[in-house]
Amino acid sequence: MTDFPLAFDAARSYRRVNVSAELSQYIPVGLLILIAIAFAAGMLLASTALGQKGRRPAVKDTPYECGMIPVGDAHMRFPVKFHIVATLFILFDIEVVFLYPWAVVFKPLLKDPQTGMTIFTSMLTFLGILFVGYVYCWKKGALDWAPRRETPQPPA
Amino acid sequence: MDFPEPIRLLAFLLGMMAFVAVNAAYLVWAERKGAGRFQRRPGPTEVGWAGLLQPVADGIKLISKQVIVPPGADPILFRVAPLLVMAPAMMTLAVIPFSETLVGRDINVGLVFVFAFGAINVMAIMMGGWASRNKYAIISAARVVSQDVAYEIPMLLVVITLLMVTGTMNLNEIVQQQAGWFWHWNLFRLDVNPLMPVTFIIFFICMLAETNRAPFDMAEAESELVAGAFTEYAGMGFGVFFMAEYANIVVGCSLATVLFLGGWQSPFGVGSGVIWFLLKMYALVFTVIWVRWTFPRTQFYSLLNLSWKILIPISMVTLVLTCILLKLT
Amino acid sequence: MNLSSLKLEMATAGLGMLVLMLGAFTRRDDKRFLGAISAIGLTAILAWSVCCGAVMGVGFDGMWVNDAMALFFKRLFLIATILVTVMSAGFAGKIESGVGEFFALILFACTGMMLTASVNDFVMLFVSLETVTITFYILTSYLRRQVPSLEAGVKYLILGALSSAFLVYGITFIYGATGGTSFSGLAEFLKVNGAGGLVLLGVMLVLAGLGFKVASVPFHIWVPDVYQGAPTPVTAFLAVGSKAAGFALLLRLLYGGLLPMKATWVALIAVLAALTILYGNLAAIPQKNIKRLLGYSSISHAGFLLLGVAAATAFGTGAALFYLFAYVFTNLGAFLVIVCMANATADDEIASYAGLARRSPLLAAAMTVALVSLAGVPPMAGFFAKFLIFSAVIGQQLWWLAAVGAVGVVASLYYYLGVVKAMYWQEPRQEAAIAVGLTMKVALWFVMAATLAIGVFQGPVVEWAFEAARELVK
Repeated sequence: MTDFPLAFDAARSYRRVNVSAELSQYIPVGLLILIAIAFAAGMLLASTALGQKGRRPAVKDTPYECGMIPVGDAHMRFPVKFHIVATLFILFDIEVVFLYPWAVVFKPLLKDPQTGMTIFTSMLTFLGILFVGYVYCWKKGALDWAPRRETPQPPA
Repeated sequence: MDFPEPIRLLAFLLGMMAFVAVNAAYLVWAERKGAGRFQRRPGPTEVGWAGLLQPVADGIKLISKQVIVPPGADPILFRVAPLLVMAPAMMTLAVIPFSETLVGRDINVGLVFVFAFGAINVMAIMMGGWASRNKYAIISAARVVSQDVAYEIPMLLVVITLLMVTGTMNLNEIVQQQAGWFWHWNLFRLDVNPLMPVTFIIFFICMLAETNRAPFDMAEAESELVAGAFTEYAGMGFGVFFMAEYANIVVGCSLATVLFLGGWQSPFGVGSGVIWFLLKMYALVFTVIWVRWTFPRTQFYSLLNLSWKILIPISMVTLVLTCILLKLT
Repeated sequence: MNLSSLKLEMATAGLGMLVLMLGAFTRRDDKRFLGAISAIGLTAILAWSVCCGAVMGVGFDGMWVNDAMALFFKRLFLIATILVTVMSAGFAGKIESGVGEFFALILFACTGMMLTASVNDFVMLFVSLETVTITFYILTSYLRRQVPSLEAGVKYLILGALSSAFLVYGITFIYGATGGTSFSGLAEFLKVNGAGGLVLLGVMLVLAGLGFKVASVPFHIWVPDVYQGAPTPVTAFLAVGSKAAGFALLLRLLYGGLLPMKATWVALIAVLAALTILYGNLAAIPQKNIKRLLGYSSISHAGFLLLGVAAATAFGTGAALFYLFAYVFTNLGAFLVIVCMANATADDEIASYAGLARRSPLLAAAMTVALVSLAGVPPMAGFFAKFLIFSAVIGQQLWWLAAVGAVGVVASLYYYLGVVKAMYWQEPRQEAAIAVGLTMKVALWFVMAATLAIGVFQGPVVEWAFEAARELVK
């Protein structure tokens, strides 16, 4: 009937689901977050209440650098590599998020002769594109973390 | 169990807290004892029999220390970070089925839930490191983020190969599918997918890296960074981070047990129950400790290259091969 | 009807990935051969679309329509992209790094544009439009060591993001009101409930978002700076490709989803068209920089195109399609000359075009043909295009609109012919002849010939455009 029964059927059946019932399942989870935070906070507060009330000389408040007097601000600039790796992570992570629902319905839909080929080829195409992107990143050196060796320059 | 739902849940949560606290305390003991044995020395012996009261003494010590928030630190982020690192570890335990009925919340997207909350951990450690305004802490924070982020991708990818076989994200259903003798466990179901052992090994490596355990403990490489992101935390602040680290190991090993080792199923097809779950989980925890005291710490660069250049391609290939295999069979 | 209806787009995207990989893996320093590969590949795809690659019909649950108009636009985009890749190969010397990616991005943008032609659903609309826009963010700031290019990129990014936000916000309102994202669903909703409230707000926001892409007043502010600062081939591509993609979406939306509220949008677009023509032509008069001038001129052409849309008949739509077709060749001709000139003189001031006829008769002739056609002087393609538009508008008794258009044409003659005057009747600053490479020569001759040929033998193109329009408007 349609080309992508999975997507559209999923969308239709989603509408049938009673959303509030589906979400009320997570109310205890919300409660749990509060209790978990309270547990950690309780430990910290206990430490504050029961802990020593020692003196606070200025030297106690300096950042700990193994006894050396700190030089410069700690909030320094970081190599741009960290930024690249974070960007790549976001890309790959989103690709993976797309794969999750696909993986769950993969086996049943593969058995269905009407959808079997679609679900198989569409995701292989998707992975293929992902792989091209990955190879490109690698080739362009976005994944090279080892410090680049200085090539000796001939004297000018 | 016929308790009304709110009471059951509350009881479960309290039990979970106790479980986390006891685990954290006694895993430290186990770690020290194990380390000692691996290095042919006895480990803690003084406090209590075989040092069994050592964790209690440590706890008392931590609680009685002076709490210092350094004046240079960001006052809000510095205090929020320990809460955020502890909470997700406990949250994830709530969806893990300890036995068929002993599960906090049996939700249908349990697996995604675990990964979603597990990811908060990274942010919390970075928050703590950055807010400390200490050079060691900030370097460690940057390392934690790039490391955890790098290992999250192969981990998620290999779990997909497993999901393709199970066809559900409900952790309890995944365990139920593995009922019977131990060759029904996902790890050994080579008839369905001969790549399962590869998947498990990658998952285990990634779990070590995600929990910042040696040989991937770049985040708190004591010899370079003192205590890493937690350098400026005193007393229980440090204690909470420490507890969270062990709680995360428990979560990681529980997840590996549920996904690959049949969860609470007994290996002989009869007598399944919580005991088997704990047995398998602690066996994995012991392996984690064993690995720590056997392998030296890697270099940061090779750590990231291992993920980006070896594990990710392997897991992608595993995924594609599984896809083709399932198509053919 | 399944994936085979996406053949052309998949081929283009595949070509883009091939170029990307070749660019990353070849050791050769001169990456200009990638331009040749892109151009040849696109020509092959174009030929394929003519002989057998086109699968007609509706697919993907009505999200995707391949009809005569979609095919018209797809071929138009392919032709434009071929010319732009040739132009980029001539421009590649100025790109510091990443020449391979430059061609790949152009191909990805082309894929996005081809997607826009078949859109019949708001989700597809957003995805295809963003594919085009995001690649253009990168392309406009490609000369990243030059401040104007960076400035252009940032301005385009900020305003483009703003317009995308409008678009998405509008789509959410429409989804909320109608419970779906398809154009046909919206049309049915409007037929039953009429336009009003949230759905009207949503439609207006979506139209505002599209207004940014076609650069109509009052969403035109980004145009002059971005056109001036972007690398010249990118400016050319923005002027023809991105604008045509915007029009493809606009036509799809107006006739696919908003037909029941035709009276409203005809009035709205007529007013926008009048304002756009007046603003574009009047603001172009004092310009000193040729790219900026063409930027304002492109605003005015968007106005003329909107005139055809505002006529809201098959004839008017056909006229707009023909106008776009003529505009692609004409405008790319002008930009080809600009690329050659920028290689020789290193700036884009109109003053440096003085006496061009003596330094390079070919460039001067090509520029003249292009500008005269843009102004709408017979027997060029631009004349017949304007003729069709005006007859469509007058056929709908929109006299005031025709009058505004006439004022625009007169004003435009002044600034277009000002450049021609500088080229032929002013003393050159320097006498040195300007060398033009062989590929560029071929491209220039081709574009000149096409501009003339479409003007003189309009028949087949007009028929083609009108057939496409008839199927859309019905």
